Amino acid sequence: MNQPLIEFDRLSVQFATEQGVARAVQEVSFAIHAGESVAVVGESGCGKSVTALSLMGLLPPAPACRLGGEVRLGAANLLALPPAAWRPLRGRDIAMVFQEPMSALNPVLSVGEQLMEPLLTHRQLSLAAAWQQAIALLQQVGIARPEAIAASYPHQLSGGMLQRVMLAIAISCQPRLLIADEPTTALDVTIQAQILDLLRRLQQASGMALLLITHDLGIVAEMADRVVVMYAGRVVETGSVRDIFRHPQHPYTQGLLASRPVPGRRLDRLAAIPGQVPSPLALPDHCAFAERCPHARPACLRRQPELQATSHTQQAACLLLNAEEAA
Amino acid sequence: MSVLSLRLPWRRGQAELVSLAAVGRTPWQQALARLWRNRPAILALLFLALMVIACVAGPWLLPWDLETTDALAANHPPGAGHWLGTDFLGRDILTRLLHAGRISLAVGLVSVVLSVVLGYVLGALAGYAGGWVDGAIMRLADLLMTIPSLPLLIILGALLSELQVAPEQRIYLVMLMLSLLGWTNLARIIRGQVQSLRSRDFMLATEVLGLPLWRRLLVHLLPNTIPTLIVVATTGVASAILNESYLSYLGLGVVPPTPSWGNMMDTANSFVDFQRRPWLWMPPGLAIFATVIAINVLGDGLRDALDPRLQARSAR
Repeated sequence: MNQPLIEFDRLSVQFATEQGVARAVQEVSFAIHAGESVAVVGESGCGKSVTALSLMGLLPPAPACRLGGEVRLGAANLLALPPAAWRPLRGRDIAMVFQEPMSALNPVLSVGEQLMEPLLTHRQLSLAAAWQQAIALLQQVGIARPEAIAASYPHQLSGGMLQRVMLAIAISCQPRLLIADEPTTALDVTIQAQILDLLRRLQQASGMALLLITHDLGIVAEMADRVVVMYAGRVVETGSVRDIFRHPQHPYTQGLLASRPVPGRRLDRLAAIPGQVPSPLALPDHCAFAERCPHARPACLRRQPELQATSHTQQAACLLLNAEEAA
Repeated sequence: MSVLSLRLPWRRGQAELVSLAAVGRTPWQQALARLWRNRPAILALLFLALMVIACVAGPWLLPWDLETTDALAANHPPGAGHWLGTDFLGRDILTRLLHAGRISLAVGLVSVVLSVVLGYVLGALAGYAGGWVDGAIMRLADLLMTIPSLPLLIILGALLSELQVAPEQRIYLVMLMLSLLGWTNLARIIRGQVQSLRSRDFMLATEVLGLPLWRRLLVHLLPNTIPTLIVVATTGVASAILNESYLSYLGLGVVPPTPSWGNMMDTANSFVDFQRRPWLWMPPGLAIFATVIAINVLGDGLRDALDPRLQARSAR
């Protein structure tokens, strides 16, 4: 395969807390190719947001947070960049959309002013040109009356409208990668569909890659080319959307898929995975899912399973996949 | 149902906000509209405007001179010629009162502008930089706040008298003294605001966009603190006027022949003047009283107008 745009190579993130060392992300490796949509799924606290933040250089500095491994953009290791080298990357090469559009826009600046900021900084446009471009961007994200919207303030607009504005800001400098951290969680379901649709159209039009962070498997099925399933800071399974939804290999992925509500089928209770996610402060040395796994064997409590290929597009980290060891 | 519940009295605050948001104006225009509906604040603003106009224009319009003495007209009670009477040198009280108003208001304004600049810069620096910068600035502020300001001002005033500073220059030194003591309050408030603002999502968003630091601070962060700045500065003017009048009353601030509201009240120290000639000390006293109250009412009104959440809380 050709050179990936972004490559996570055994990324580890540890936070020093008062209660001890929290291992938020451990040995995460996956790649994002140009123009590809990769979804990272998992429960809250599984390390998916931390993985994205490492890509933005937004993790706290050294004593509070220890990084291991590499995150490569082209040939450069992002984790080794000095703080000053980050600025030109952010917004121009990698952009990000937040979960809460209401709080991610400055309440005292008009939408247009905020939209002009990255244009002025990264593309060195003149004020007039930046304003024209801001209007064009608003049109591009499907906002009618862009002049009126550009002159209005965040409190005057709805959540869906604001998320469109956030998308316009994010794509303003034609980034190569857009990180969307739960981009529709704060929105109504009908608006969610519109925003996702817009996101996909923008991606197709510009050819940027998308790193989608979500816990919503419906969004994953709709948006992603490839899926990375994380559990307790580790990648437990990766594969194409088809692989993951049709032939989930890891018991955790199987559990996630089984716990989805199916429209039209009425159950007294939705299926749930028993037990709780282990605390990142006290992760076991063996498979972190073993305690909750319906198929767990004594071997599962002995060592950490590694990702292994189950087909040429799919990998999973489960000892049960090696029949002889599990027996 | 929801329409009905919006009309219930306890929801009125929110309903009002909703209707305002729908009107579609900038946050500043909304604040102005809220201020306009606050009658006491508008009256206070009107009073202050009149006071400023009177102090600036009054002395030119009155026939009396500030410095000219008239032994024959000494200690006249208020009457047709001298509307507020004359002092022991026969100088017109009203002329002196308005002149003193210029001085007192100027001392208040200038010292607040100085202390606001100082407090704002230091507070924002402490809040943003954190670490030892924050520690150093805030310990200095703590130090200034723990020293009772009046004794300190008295010592500084006495020092000025000892050094025999000319009365004209003294005013500027008094302004400087007041501002060097007055910045701590604003610095603390701004520091807290900057600390909470810098961790908000929209500040994170500016970092994610790769904006340069100066832009993030000046364009995105500081405008959010302007409402606080306006409110604190307004009430600061009142306390600066009061401080100036304490000092001048004690003869340590603005000294004669330059009149100020504080040193005009000095006559109340004389028992005869206090008992028999209230026109000497009542007008400056009332001027200080009314001005300070008006400024505080305006400050409260500005706070309610600029921070609607605060208003909603107090209304409940």
